[in-house]
Amino acid sequence: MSSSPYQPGQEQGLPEAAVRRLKEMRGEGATPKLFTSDLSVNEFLLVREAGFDPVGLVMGSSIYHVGLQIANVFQNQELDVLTQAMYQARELAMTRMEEEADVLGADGIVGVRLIVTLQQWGENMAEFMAIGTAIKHRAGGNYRTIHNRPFTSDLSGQDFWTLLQTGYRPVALVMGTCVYHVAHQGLGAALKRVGRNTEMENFTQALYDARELALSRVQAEAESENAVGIVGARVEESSHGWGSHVIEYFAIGTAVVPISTDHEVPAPSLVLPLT
Amino acid sequence: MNLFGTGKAVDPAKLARDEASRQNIIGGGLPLNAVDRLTDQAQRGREGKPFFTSDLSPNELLLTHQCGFEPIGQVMGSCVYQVGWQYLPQSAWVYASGEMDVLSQSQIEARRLAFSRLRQEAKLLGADGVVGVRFTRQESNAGTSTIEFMAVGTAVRRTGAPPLAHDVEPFVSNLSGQDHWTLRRGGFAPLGFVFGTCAWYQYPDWRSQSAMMSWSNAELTSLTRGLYTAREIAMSRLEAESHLLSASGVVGVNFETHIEVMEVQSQNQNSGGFIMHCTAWGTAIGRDPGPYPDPISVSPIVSIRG
Repeated sequence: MSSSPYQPGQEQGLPEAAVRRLKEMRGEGATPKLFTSDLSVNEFLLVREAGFDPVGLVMGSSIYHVGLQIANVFQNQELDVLTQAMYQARELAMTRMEEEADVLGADGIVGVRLIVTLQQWGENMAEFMAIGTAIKHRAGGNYRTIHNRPFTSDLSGQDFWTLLQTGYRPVALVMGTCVYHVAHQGLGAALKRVGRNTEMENFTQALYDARELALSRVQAEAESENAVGIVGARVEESSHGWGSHVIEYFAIGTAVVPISTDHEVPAPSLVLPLT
Repeated sequence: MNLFGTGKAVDPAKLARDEASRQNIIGGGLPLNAVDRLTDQAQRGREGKPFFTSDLSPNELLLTHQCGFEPIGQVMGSCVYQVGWQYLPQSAWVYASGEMDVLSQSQIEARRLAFSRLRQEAKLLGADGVVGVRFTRQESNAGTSTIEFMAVGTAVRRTGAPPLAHDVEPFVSNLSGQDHWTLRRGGFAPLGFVFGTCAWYQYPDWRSQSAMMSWSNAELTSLTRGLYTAREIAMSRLEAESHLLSASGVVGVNFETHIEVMEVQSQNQNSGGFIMHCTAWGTAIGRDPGPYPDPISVSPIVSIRG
């Protein structure tokens, strides 16, 4: 979906004040080095135990006007204008977050959350925000994706540590979305089912179609990163206030690549808490 | 003459005491009742009959002892604050964007007063710090545009350590007892609670205005820029507070944004601007190797409970 290839260190989407503040956080200013992070204490220590240091809380935002699309009332169909909007706005937010991580000299971002808030004040206006903690390996090394972006992952600090222990590393937060219109029934069809137990096959079919489209897109994104799989994948279904006949199917997960051939972990010991 | 009261004469000593408490509060201090109670509690401790109050759970209490602290008492800092009138940012051009400094400053000042009172209470008890602080920020029902900031925690003293010097402030930590223990075990110590906020008024430029009317997908760039400005100011304030504490980092940052629409009526035309509220807070930490070996070791377990 992105138009031009990502250049490491690019800061196109960032306002000047943000670049200045991030550089100060690196210690390139009057103030000493400082990191911010939304990791909990446990996550912070585990990320450090895995050999990484947090370098800063990074965010990307975009306030977006979602276009209008008139669907054929009696047809199941994807609303590609809305799908495009959801993709593009998330992409803008994600890229800006990655640019911030690059200014901080980070290897990647953990604990990424993508938040979409539909604003009640404006019709079709939504705030997209990507937020996470940028981290950097103490010993260096290349942790970028094959597209030269910093790695991104929605895994918690605990999951990140465990994943590294099992011989994988996260490369990219991959997502797929599909906004779909569910057909309304004609009067005849509606009258036929009055008072009867019956499947609403147009809804079932629409859910399947939307799900297949979203999942095939998330899979395509992971394959373009040369990943071997996706962990922590989830699908979210929401209508963002578009009414009962328009749904967004959103699939998201962390694409992983192996860092060793050995994926054995020591057998966990069993404990029984007495609390 | 007392029309609505119980008919009892008002004790002039109580009136004088209430007035003295009010003057203390105006000066950013504590009411006399709190001062007396805490002084008593500290006195009991010095006489070898210590008595503590605390909102730590038994597990947290145990872990607090483990990292070398003993609880002295529950302490609180509170502030109810009226937000003043905010005029819209003005410039030579009628529509301008800018910080709504009355709104930002009301939050900053209410927070400063609440936390200063929390530290004053801890200081009266002879504490080295306050742990497990729970911080709430809400609209108050004391009146229109009134906000209420409250911080409640447990004052602790480092076991066997001499009392803090007069000019040294006790540390404040909003970590749970478990997190506090784990952090110290990992070679860090909490230094303080840090906060930053900004309310920014953004007037949309014509490009954003026409995009809002259109049928097509478009980013509202001037609004995004406004949100970024608010965020930069809020984060800079949080970072400035961290530098004052000589922190090496901030963990557990809580970041909130809220966009509010504002109708403006001027020169017989209606137009709207947006207020971008950004608020962030977290725990500033610094290196403190303590008696623990570095690095920590972690091993996976499976809980067979349930």
